[in-house]
Amino acid sequence: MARLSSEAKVGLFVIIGIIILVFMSLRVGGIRFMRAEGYELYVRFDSAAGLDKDVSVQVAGVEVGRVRDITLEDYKAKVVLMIRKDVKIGTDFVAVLTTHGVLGERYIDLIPGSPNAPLLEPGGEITRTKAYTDIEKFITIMSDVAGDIKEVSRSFASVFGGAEGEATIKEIVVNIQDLTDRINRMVAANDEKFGRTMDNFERFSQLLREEGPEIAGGLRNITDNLNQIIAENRDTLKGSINNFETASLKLEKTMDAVNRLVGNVESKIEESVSSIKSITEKIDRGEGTIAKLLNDPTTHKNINTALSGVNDYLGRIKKFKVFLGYRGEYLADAEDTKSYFSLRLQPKADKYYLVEVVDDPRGSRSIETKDVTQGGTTTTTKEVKTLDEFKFSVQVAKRFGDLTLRGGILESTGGVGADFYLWDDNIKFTFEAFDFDEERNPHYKAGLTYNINRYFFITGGYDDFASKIDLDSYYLGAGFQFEDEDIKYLLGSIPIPK
Amino acid sequence: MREFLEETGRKTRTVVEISGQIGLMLSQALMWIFVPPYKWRNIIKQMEFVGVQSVFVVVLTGSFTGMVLALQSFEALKRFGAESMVAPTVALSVARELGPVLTGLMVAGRAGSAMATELATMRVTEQIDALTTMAINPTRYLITPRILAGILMLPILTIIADFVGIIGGYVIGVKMLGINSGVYIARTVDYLTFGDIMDGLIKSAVFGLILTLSACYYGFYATGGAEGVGKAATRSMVLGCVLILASDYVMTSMMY
Repeated sequence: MARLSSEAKVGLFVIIGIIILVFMSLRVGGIRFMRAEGYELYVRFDSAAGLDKDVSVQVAGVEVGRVRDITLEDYKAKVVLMIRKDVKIGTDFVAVLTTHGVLGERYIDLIPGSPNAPLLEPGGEITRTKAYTDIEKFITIMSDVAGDIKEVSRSFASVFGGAEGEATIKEIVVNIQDLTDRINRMVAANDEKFGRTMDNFERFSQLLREEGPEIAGGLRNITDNLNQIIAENRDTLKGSINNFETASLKLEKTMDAVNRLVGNVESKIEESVSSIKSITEKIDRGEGTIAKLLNDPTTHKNINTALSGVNDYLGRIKKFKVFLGYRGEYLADAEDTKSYFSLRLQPKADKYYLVEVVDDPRGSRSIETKDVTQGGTTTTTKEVKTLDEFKFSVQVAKRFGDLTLRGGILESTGGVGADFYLWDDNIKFTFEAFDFDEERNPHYKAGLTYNINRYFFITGGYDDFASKIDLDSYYLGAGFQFEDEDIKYLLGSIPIPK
Repeated sequence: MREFLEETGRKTRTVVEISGQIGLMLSQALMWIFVPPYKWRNIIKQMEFVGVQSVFVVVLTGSFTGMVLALQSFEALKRFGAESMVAPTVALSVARELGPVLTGLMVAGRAGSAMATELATMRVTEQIDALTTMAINPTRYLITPRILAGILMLPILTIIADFVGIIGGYVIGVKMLGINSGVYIARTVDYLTFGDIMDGLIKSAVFGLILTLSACYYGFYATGGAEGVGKAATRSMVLGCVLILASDYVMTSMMY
């Protein structure tokens, strides 16, 4: 490269200098080529102390203009603001004289009002103002507060000072001692319980943290499914409501008839009562067969036995429990949710009948065998087709200690299952086997259920894990179950819609 | 006593004389700026000498100044938890004062003394007298290009010094002292205004005039052979630096 001439060197030097100057001036942005670009507004402050010309005017921390002029008018500071042309200021904006931090520089903050307020014309006045408390004012207020505190402490001193005050304080201290003593004892007595509670809570919250998102997803699925079920059964529901209406109409008519009947039989009842009266009188006197029967001790014994039988029956009804439940299980591989609607009839604590309606997204499974001939060789391919299907389960279950065995119809085929309970029945291991088919192995399902509280539970496991046709899938789900008092009385009498 | 009075009188006369000669030289040199034809070749040569060849020195001074300012102000500002204020401290000090003044002093030391030596040598070897004999105006030929180069080049050197000074402060503040880089730049931009930079540049132009004028004066009026050449260099340097600092005070008090 040829040596640069003096001219070239000087030229390069000047150009570099000018580039740096332009760069820096653009960065600091202090040039105001467009001084007149914008419009003026004014605002009156009681005090503009610390405010100077060219101080920044900001909206939401963004500079929208500068202070152009400060003058005194009627012993108030009239401040003229130069606002950028593209910024519109509403009539309900509040102008605040404030500072950056405690010792920072002053600026005027314009706080926007409602977006619908009319806009200020150039030359208009921002009428709402507010002066933030400055440091001096703050100190003044603080010294007032300190004075108040002094006053309070003085009155305290006058109350508690002297022998009388001392006695009062002593009494208070004794009381407090007594109280803390009691609290101590109480805490000691309940320490273990409290610890357990905390443990439970910790475990629960940990589980929630780990499973929270899945639970949420599952619940969403459940509501979706419920919505779908309701939508699908809307007509049926309507039908049952209609049936109920008809039934209640009939009942009304029946009641009318009964009323009439009662009116008719009233006189007859009166007759009956008088004859009963005469009969009882006779019995009392020991006349006739019945009197003899009643006075016989064997009769008494017989009646006792009969009554205990009735008692037994009533007790059983009382023990009889009905649970309604729903659960959704999200099958990871199928990317779909399997829903169960269950009715559990529990005549005894260790025995129940379980009726379930299952909506299985791949309930119907068929295997199609295809022979494909390609280049002389025939390959047989199996294709598994699954279809959404409703299935039914009817099982009878019996509990032995922590183990429940059940069997019957599982998902519309024969099957058996076992549940093993842990931790006050809050955790349940489940194993089920059904749909025994040599070609694709029985449908096995193993899972774990955790009761979050009396009503809600979450569940997860591995479905159809021995499947020969690759339908195995992990699942995660959640559901709820509640005891229904009404259903057990309605069971026999409700008109079931067709 | 009489000797003291006489001495005082002589000193005063010398000061007045020097002021007058400098004033005359300045007015003549400035007059020749506006009279064509221009001696472009001479001007460019001086610009290269004063400006281009001083860049290295100025960049060094500027960056070290910025760095040391960042270090020092950080120590002080840390006590108030205002570490981020290092940025405006560096930017404002460099742009307003240290950029122009240090550039002026460095150029006075480097170019000013060289200029005085050159002119003094020309004087004592009677080259200047030869120019006059050939009807070439020595002021126009020798002094005006130098003064013009000083006035034009110093602002450009100063803007370079400002820039590298701020960069130096940034490097120390952000990389070494751990101030957030975004905050550093934002504070610099917040506090530094175009006016600050412009004031610094005006100052530096005046410094350029002062240092070249002082160099030209002592070189042009040098007497006494080789010894006189040395004296001219030293004196021009001292006067230049003192005048730069004094005029800086005056200009600063007028500007703010």
